[in-house]
Amino acid sequence: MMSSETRRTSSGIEIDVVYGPERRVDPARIGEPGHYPFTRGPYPSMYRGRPWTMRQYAGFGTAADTNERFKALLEAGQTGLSVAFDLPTQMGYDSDHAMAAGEVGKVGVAIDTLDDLRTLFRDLPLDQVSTSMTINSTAAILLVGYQLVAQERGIEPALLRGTIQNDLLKEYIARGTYIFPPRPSMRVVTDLFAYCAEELPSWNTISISGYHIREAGSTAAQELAFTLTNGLA
Amino acid sequence: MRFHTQTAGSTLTAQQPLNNVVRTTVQALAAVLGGTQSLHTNAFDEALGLPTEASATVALRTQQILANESGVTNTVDPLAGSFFVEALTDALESAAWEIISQIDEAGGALAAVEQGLQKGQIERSAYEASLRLESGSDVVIGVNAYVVDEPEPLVGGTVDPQLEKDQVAALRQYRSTRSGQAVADRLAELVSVASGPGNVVPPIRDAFAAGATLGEISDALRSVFGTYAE
Repeated sequence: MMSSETRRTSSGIEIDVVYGPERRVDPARIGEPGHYPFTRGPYPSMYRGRPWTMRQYAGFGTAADTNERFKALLEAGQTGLSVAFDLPTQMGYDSDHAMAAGEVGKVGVAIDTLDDLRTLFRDLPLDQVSTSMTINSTAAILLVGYQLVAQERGIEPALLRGTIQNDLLKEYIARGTYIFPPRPSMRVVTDLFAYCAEELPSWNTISISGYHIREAGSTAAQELAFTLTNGLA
Repeated sequence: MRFHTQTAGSTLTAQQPLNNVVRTTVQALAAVLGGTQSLHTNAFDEALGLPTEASATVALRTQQILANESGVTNTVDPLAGSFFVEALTDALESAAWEIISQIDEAGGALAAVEQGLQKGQIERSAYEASLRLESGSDVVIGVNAYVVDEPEPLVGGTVDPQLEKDQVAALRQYRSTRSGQAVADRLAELVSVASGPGNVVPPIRDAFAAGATLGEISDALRSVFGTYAE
């Protein structure tokens, strides 16, 4: 390879041979850690204060199988739970539906009923861990199920911490697990916002995701632009 | 607002799968240098099958090694205004603004989705990337460079076919023990709320608590909202 040829990042941004002080990085533009524009990080002390949350996405087979994996991950020092659901659960089909054949428990855990959720979270300290659920079209069902399971165990909904993905626009753009047309989907999304503001105040009601956009083959600039505009919609 | 990062599943290869530990480590380090608040590291066997307990543990250990052994946590923002990183950030920002203005012109993200704008752009980028891989101008170790004859790959976990039968049996058992009338009433209430302006979440909760299944609740909403296919 010749050292003078043009080189680009995987997103097509051209890279110079060398970068130096003539670029004059303006200290005001990068700011201070914990302050706008957060170029230097979201917290003043960053990882000296506390490390990032180690949140491994897991889920497969039955609720009982995944419950075992969660316990093992928490014992191994993981600090948050993250649930992967199988495709029928993501698409709103019960495990005995024709569309579910061959997919049950494959890419995540299969959830049909409130009983399945009771098993999934059995013996896990729901008042202490935060739980992320990668779920979109059926997020309302799984989140209220989480709330019902916690309430049965005497845990106040206000103590529940976690995140549902609930980012429907990227489903149409890149990921594909939509059920309804875009506008009614957005209505369910905003109904969930209103519900959580009343009932689950510590819950993150949406997680706008660039991941699947990039995985589908976008450039970094497309990932950034589509993700930000989905967040604004 | 918080931000979470995941290493890129699409960069993992089925060939020489242990190389994926290295790919994931580099990406995880990039996320940490970027100041991520939470992180998922992919398991090295994800291109082959479900992560096993062993590969899931290595993925977690990767994060623990970065946090405890690499030294990256000892100072705030170790790259501190790197000339190169700041130049890339600026270039990325201006490229993203250009696309954002296209979406604004289309009437916003929802309208752009309905026009297929984002999907079309992604498909073009993905196609161009596949051409670069094919021509060898993008190098992926083990795929188009340093390829070796491999024995059968270390296979990741697979799903036992018995599982689906057990899940279906449990589901049918559940349906047979609940009050069919209560479920029908709650689903009817859900349909009624969904047809009007009210919030659909409380009737979803009541139906699920009364014993309705995820599929039945979804069907009730389908009956009002319709379905979508491209």
